[in-house]
Amino acid sequence: MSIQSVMSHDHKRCDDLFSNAEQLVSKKLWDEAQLSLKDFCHSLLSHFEHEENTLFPAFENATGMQGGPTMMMRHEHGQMRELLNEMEIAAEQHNQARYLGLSETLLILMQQHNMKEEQILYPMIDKECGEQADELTASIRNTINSDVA
Amino acid sequence: MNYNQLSLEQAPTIGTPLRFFLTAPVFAIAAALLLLFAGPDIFQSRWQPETLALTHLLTLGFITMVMMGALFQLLPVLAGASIPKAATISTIIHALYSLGVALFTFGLATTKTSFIKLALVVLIPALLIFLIAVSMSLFRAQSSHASVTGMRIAIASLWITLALGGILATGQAWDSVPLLRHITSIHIAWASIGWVTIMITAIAYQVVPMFQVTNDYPDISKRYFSRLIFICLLGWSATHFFESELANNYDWLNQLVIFTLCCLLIAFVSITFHLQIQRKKRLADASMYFWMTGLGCLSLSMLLYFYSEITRHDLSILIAIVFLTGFAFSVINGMLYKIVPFLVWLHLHRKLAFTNKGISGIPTMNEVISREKMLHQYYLHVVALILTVLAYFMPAVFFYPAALAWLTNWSLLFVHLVQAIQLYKTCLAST
Repeated sequence: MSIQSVMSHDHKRCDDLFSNAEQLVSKKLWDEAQLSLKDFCHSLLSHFEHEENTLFPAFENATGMQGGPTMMMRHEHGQMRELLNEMEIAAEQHNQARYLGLSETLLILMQQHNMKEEQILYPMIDKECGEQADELTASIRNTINSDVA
Repeated sequence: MNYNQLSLEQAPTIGTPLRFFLTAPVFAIAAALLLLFAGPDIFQSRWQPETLALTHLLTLGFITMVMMGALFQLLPVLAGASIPKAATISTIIHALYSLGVALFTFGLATTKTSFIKLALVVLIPALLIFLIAVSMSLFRAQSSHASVTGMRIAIASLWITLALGGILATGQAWDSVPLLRHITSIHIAWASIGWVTIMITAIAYQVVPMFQVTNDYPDISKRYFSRLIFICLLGWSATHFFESELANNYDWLNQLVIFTLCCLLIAFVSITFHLQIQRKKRLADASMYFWMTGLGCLSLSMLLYFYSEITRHDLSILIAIVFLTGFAFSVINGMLYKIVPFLVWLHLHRKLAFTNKGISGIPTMNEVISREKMLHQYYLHVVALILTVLAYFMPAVFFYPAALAWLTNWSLLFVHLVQAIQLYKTCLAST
């Protein structure tokens, strides 16, 4: 299984969790919304960790590129982490307008980030590190399986 | 593999796309003022000077203006290929293009050929610089996504549109050059279907799933759609160019091409509606309503066109109203309401995230332009659209209300965009 298909699939899973939390906030079902947001944060953050700790270093080692596309992806992960923190605070404070403003911003940031990964970076990683694809994606597949279970 | 040219940067400078986005409503406002001054007769014939000026204010002044700015912004993200020296090139293109459109439309409206001549001297170079820069960037694009193919076809169509438009405008401006009126329909087809529609569909493949969290478009539609439309346009152009030679014997061929084109576009709209209905992001907003209205109008304009061809009724003005203001303006307006607030947030984040205020001091997208403001403008847009369609049938009653509604609507869009930029400047100044 290619890195692109495993990681793109995980993006979709995160999108579903994001939409679920947003829907609950829009209905002001705060208890459920906070739980749902927690699921989303957990999934998104572990997706970032797999990339930052496994996939990106493998690509950087294979190509010798340290300051290229992976640096920009790490920077955007940082921006999304900040927005997630703010969303958690807004959810705790039951501040619907603030939450929806932040989640809309996160959505666009996340989607344009995913697009760049799915269409450009993952195919590049598959090309450079394709032989290790199973090994590189093993932990993320385990995470997905345990989350779904 | 050489990754040196790869650009995954987030965006060019904020001024690059925004100068196009802010200028576009100004031309739309000029179009509304022209409607008011010209009066209901403007709907009588598409060949009138005011009608030609109005069409170009809408297509060059608004639609193409926004699409140019959007391409500077979207190419690095969608295709992994930024335009080299984007800030400088966009400044030059924007200045020449804005001046060119203003002179050109003024020349058309007043039939003063000296203005058209002057306009062509700046307008054609502006479009050529843009086309060369974007064509080079798309040629080098790293992504093999269907969007990139669609964009390449749309840009090829803009090359054809410019060539045909250049021939027509030259004929209009210089007495010594013959005015080849019979290529006008071909020029319009490449502009409306080739440039505007294919570009919007190419962008839809990316932004509909992205903004509304829907499933992806089916592979078959992404792979073949733009190519098939391009082939239809070639066939359509050939049947129109050789119209007199073909006479009535090949009328069926023309109708077959039009039927295929209509089916393709209606299929695209149906697929998009299907995806939107099944979207995961249940919370709807003005941007989505704009998209849905726009797509509905694309289908309607195609049905009207097919009807007019088989019944030999000239509905060109009505089709233009539904296509331009109903389809293209709606979709572009909806896109602006996603892109502009996001750019404001993104660029503020770049500048403010590492100050003592941190991210909490940065307005979110909904604070840049509120959901309510966007919805109000959407309702006004729909009212203006309905009034204009009514004005086509009953100009005496509905023409001036329609023109006033557009004037208010486009002024409101302009105000919303200006307020977004003012908020950006205020946030920067407060640090």
